[in-house]
Amino acid sequence: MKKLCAVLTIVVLAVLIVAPVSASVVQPPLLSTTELVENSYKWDGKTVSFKGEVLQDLMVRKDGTWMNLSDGNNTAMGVFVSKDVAMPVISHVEDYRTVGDVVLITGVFHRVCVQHEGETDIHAVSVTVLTLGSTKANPIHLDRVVWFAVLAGLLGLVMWLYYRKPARGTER
Amino acid sequence: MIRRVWREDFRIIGYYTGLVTIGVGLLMLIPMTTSLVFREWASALDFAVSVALTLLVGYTLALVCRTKSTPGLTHAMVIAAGSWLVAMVLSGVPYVLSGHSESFLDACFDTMSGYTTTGMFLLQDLDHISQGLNMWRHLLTYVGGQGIVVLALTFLIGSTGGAFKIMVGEGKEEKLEPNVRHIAVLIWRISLIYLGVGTVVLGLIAMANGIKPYLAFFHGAYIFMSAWSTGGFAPYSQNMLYYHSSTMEIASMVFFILGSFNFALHYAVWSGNRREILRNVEIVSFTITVLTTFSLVCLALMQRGVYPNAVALFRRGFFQLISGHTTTGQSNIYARTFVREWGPLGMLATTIAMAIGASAASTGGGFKGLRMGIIVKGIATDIRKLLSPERAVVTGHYHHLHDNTLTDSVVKSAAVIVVLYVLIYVVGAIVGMAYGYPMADALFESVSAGSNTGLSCGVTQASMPTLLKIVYMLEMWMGRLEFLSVFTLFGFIATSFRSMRVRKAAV
Amino acid sequence: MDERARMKRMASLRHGLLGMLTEVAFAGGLIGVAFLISWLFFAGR
Repeated sequence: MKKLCAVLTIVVLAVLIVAPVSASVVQPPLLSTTELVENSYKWDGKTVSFKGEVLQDLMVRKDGTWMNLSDGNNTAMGVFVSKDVAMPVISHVEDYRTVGDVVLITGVFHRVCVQHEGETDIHAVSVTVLTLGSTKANPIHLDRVVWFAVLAGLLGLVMWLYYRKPARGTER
Repeated sequence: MIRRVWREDFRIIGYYTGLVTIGVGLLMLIPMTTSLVFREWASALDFAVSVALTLLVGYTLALVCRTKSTPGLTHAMVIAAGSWLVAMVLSGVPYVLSGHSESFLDACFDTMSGYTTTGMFLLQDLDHISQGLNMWRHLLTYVGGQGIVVLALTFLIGSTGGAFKIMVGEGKEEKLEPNVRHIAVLIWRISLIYLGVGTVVLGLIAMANGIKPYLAFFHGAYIFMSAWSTGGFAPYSQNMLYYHSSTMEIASMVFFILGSFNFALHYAVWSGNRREILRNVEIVSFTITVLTTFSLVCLALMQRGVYPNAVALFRRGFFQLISGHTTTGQSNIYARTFVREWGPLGMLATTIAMAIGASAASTGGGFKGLRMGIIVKGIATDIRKLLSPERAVVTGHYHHLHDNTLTDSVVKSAAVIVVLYVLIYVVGAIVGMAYGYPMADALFESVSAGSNTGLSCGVTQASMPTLLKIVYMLEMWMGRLEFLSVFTLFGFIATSFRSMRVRKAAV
Repeated sequence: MDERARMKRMASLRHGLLGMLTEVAFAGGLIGVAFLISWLFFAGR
């Protein structure tokens, strides 16, 4: 009985000690552009997580790469990945016919980045591709083809009427 | 005595509006081609449908109203205001077809914003639109800016309003051609040369910053058109922040500063009269008000400790301020950052800069530097008159292309228009406040719309009240056309109703 | 006439180019003065 109590105590103590340790390796808070911009002073200098779709232009510069990650309707954040941070291969970037890779980054958020002359940005310390991009459908609507044909036909008629020489040159 | 409206008046207006509409339809071929080049088939089809519809409306109007009569001044004003509305509606069709506008009204808001070179937008998910639609948005501002300059200068030639004797070359050195067509050609030539230079320069900068060559020159074209027209659109929702490039921002700044200059000034400077740039009342006024409002902005930002060093203060602070003063509307900070970090004084200084605006006969908006200069000199002259002996003759002068006398009528014309601008700014602010927006925000956004700037502090959203959308659209329209055209249009409509009743009674 | 027309064209091209450079220089100057102002604000702190 005494042995059982001792074992139980050790187990409970072990859990209590290990739990906070594992908590400190939990992911930094996943924030949106809106949250970061609205509460820029609060998050300034903190390590955060950010997730977004890679927009069209990955800009490779001398000292690192700039990515613009879109995380919602008209919200996107600039993420700087310095040369000494491992950058995975980004296979898809957004354009009309492609859905870009969704990337998860953790890094330090800057309200006014000194290195980048006052920019609001995140300097990534880790970059992972969460979801691979894909081809976008953008289907052609058949009814619009019909509309085009009808309108073009009418237009042709009106243009013919407009440009033809009047039979008896009557113009009021 | 306002004259009666006859059927021929409708024909003239209809015919020329039809011609403008045909022009808009042909313009749509450019974004359609862009979409074809990028293999955006669905988008290309949307534009094809829009082209067909617009040309159909244009040709039908022109056919039905065909006339040989030449338009008078009244007609021209009504055509200007009226065709603006027709263009706004038809240009919105590609937006609606793309699925990125929540409503047709939202699409019209965006096209009104484009043509008036404002730059506010209600477009949803801007980061995922086609290259074709992006080309269309930016092209709208370029054409809108050019169109209005041609219009402005056309009216200014014939106008006897003292403040605007810009083009009258009564026995002066400048060989200013009084021919309207010639002026239009000159304006287009200067703008097209800058378009070429600007696209190449900005394209090269974009390439140097890591954008692929075949895309870089599209970015160059978009940013140039946005800057030169002082429109303020950018291909992505982050606006200039997308590029993370101070070179891009400085180049754009140069182009939008130049775009905010009076085209008569461009013409003078490009014809050998380079000294004009230092003597011109608008440039002097602009320089003074820019540096003053910027100093206020610096004061505000330093007091709040927003930026850590001079470079950041300059890059963010000056870009925002000069973008506002030239009524461009490009930005390298988030809209909400501006509101929350700059604070009331920073916002007010920017609001004042926007309200004053750019030069007359330019792509910019606001009171215009010419009027600021005239009013300030008018006040100075009045003070001098008071201080001088009663029998002394005191006359004020201002230099705009040549020395002009500051007559009472000149000062009055300037003051009247300034009052009208203040009126729309205030009315827009009141409507905003009535919907619960804080005063600084409501005033800022209203001035931004009325001065055709386009900087936003977050008020402009698809979810904003419908009436507020309409109010801003009216502000953009009236501000761009400087009231006269719009009033003439309304007057024309009212008079035509009266004329119809008179004719009915006579029958 | 050809020679005169050509000289006129050269002159107008020269004026145009110098005009553009003057304008760009002015804009650059304004930007420079603004930078100076921001520098002064920090220097004076």
